[in-house]
Amino acid sequence: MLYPAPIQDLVNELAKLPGVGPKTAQRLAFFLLNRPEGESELLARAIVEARQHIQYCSVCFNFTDQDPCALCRNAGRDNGLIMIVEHPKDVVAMEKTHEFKGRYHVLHGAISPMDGVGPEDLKIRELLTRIKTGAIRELVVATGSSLEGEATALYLSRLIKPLGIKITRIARGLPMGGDLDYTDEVTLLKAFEGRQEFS
Amino acid sequence: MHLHNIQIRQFRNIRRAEFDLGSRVTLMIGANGQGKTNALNAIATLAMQRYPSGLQDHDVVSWELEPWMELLGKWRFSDGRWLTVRYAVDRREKVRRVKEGPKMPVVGFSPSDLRLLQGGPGYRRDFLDQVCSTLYPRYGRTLQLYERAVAQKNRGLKDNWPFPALETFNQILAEHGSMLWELRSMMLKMMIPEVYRVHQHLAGGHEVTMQLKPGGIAGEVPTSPGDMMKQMRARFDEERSRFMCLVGPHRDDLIIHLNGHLATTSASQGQQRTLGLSVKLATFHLYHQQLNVRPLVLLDDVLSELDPSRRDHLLEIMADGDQQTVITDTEARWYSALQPVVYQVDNGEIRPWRS
Repeated sequence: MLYPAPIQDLVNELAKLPGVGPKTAQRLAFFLLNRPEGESELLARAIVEARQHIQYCSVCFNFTDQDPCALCRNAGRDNGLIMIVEHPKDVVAMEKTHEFKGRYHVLHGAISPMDGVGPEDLKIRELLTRIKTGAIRELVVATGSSLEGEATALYLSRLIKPLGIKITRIARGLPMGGDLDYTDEVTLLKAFEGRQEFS
Repeated sequence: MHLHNIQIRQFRNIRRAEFDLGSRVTLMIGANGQGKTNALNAIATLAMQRYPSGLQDHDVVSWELEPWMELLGKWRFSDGRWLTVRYAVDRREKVRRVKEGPKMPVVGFSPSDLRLLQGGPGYRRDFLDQVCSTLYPRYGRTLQLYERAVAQKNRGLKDNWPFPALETFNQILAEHGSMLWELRSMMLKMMIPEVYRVHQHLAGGHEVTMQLKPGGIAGEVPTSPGDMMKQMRARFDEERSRFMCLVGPHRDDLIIHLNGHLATTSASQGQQRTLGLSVKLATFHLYHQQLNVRPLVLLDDVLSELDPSRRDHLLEIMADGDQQTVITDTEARWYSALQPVVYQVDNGEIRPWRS
């Protein structure tokens, strides 16, 4: 390559990040090189520290720097209600609503044979242990609406229904403020099927 | 609705072209390999707001010098309003696609229609998909989800996944697959009498029948997810040993009989050509009836292959009606009665034709 080896190494590493192609990786590398030296040290340290201090919460498997995590330690939350999500970022998204007062369980992915991710690669066994040891009233499956998210939701429902615990799936439909004519046909159809009577 | 003022930029070998379509018939003349089919594909892309089947970005937009293309046109509505339509792809950074304006169904005739009869079941499924996604807005997305689920389950079968995990994909396959079957059946229910009628007109006295043979199932097409689940469970062991999904619309075939014999194997070349033409003409009529618009008709080098009576019949249909037709040929023959607007296509350039 045309670059000195250290730059090329940096570009190669950056290009491994999701959503970053070779061109963006180059741009990022040169950006870093043009900034004051202290800044790249801060970044490098932040990455290393995050890796060192962040672990899975032993209860919900969200990322945390303290085990159990802040959400699991919070005594004000409802132990009987668990929301199951694919990723830690989904917890953040849900928490922004300030409405859900239950607990979470993070699966760290969704079932996808093409990516080599099976049920045993997700935190499903841990979920079952959690169900057996706690008094759970309801499990809310909030995996994504992708094909893989749906497959995971179906898998969980088949697994958990026989245990006699209420298991629900979050609704699919129109985004708030969304126009009907900008919505794809399948979403519209799901929204129609999930219609509700005015109370 | 008529398409006018077409501008093509960087569409295969057409670097830059501007021309108007006639409100009835437009004829594009040129030697082979000059860009006639490219012009038709550009017009089809603009009208449908997607590529004709078989084309993809990398077929259309070159990677090297100019990795972008743009198509522009104007629709003229019967009440005199005009609306701009645009389809553009830019691959310079990442792929950006701009679609603007209404969609119009297109029925294209080409020598490759014969594959509907001479080719494998895949060609007939492509045809079913094309017609269904034109008629039913939810079909395309459902097909996409279904095909992804098939790929996921196939992978799971290859990697020897346990039954419970694969069964969840069965449930998803059943939901989308039964929907595809229902829509394909609905479409064929309307299409089959049309094919029969058109074929009677083209070649009276011959009996043509068509039937959907559901993939991996003997007998009726299951239209409920539960039925499809049952069928998949019944063949699960076989799926396991052959490492692939055996039941479902991805293995459908369209069985066409002529006078009681399988047309794909026992009809003559001429009979197959007439059948292919009948199916395409029936598609035109079906779009017209169901969508209440006259589809744009594109005839790519087909008339020279037909015998005179069938050719006259086709031209008669083109002359009778308000639809726009674009025809390509190597020479300006047979068409004078249609009073076409004529262009010459020469090495990617499109110019008014002077005889």
